[in-house]
Amino acid sequence: MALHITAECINCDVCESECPNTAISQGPEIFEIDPDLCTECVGHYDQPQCRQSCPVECIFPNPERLESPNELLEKYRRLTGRD
Amino acid sequence: MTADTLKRLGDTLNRRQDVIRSIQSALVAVYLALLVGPVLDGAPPGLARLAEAVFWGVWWPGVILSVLVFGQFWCGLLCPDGTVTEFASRHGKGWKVPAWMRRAALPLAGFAAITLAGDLTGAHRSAAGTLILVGGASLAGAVTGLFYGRGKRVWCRYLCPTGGIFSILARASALHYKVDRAAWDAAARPVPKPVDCPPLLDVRRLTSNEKCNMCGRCSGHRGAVALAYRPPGSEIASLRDDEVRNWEALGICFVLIGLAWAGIHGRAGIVPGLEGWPSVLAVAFGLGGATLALLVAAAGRIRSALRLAYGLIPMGGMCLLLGALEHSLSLLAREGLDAAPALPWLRAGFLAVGAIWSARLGWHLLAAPELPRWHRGAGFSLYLALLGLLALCTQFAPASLRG
Repeated sequence: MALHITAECINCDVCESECPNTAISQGPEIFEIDPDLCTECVGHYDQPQCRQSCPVECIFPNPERLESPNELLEKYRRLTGRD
Repeated sequence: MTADTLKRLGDTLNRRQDVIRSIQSALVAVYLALLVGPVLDGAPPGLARLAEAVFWGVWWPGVILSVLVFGQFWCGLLCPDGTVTEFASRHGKGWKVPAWMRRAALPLAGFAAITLAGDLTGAHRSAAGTLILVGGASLAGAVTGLFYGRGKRVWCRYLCPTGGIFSILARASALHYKVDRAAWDAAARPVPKPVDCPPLLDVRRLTSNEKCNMCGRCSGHRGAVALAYRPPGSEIASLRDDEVRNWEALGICFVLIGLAWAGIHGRAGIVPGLEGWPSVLAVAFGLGGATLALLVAAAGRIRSALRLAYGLIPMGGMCLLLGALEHSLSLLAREGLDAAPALPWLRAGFLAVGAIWSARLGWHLLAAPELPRWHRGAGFSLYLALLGLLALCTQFAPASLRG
């Protein structure tokens, strides 16, 4: 599944540049993750980089976007054009 | 200084972090020598006096004044605790900051606790006491860095007790990092690197100097951040009701004004039958309560009174500074320079500046277009009476000059 950012976000700006899919951007109140672009870093890294770098616990799986690892990998291939 | 000069100064701070880090390392070494040296066996007798003079005669009043006027440059550029906690954080566990630690009132509560403890034990008048009080904060900062954050200053943002009071004072300061929100949002994506803010601030929407360490590392980020001048106190004068924090306003009344005064002057003889910490607490609550009551009377309603409390920051800052200066004067007296005759003049001078500054802010904060002009005038008269009361309390407070 894609990730999403909760209201616990402190807007520290650390996560945006960590995302290999440029899925993170600043929303009106807090940072937001575009679920169409988020692969949980599948294809890029072993762990979601935003969760690794976030100084608070505010990035969780998005319950509205349930995706299997294979679906995330497929999304990665579609986004990057790589096999 | 022109706007361009200030911008270049901020950019230089960002660009020359290597130099700043060297200065910080040297300061940590000096700090540790002055902190630990005097309590070691065989330490030269003059070292303890030098350490007390540096810590309490120069550093404490100097930093209070600099934060009030210029912002928290001390914290971001020179503070050994900040240097140590950030260094520890670079090499530590990198745990995430838990929700309990992010309670905004924690630093101010910590400041109240160490003020009470420090004043009652006279810790700042002995080398061992200073080691426990000041060194304890440094140790706590190092431990915090060791566990929380990755190369950040979690201690400074969420826990530092002196940071709690500096955050209040810095709201009045004349310098800040100004963020052009439109330029920030217009910057090209993907962003090559995140903004480097050690206390993890929301720099994009930064409008308050409250937690900004003024380290300069954000200067020029996305072409949107620059060190800039603002009229002193303008952040307070433009404070909206929804920006007021109840705990902070109460902290201004009971800690910045009540406890700070009581800790210096209220140990004995003010409340009949009370001495030591009961006396300090009674005076702190009494003065803080009277301040709050007059604010409510001046503003007419609780929410506006709490907003008006922010107008007292310059006056409270000057009272705090004068308390610190009394220690400086006592150190001079110990060296044979009787500076006691200067105290009334120092008090009058700083109180006049604080009162005028706070009065100006109060006039802005009492503005309410929906209310008749006489209402604002009457409220302002009561507010002036409060400033007069605080000035008299400090001007004629018993001097605590001790060798």
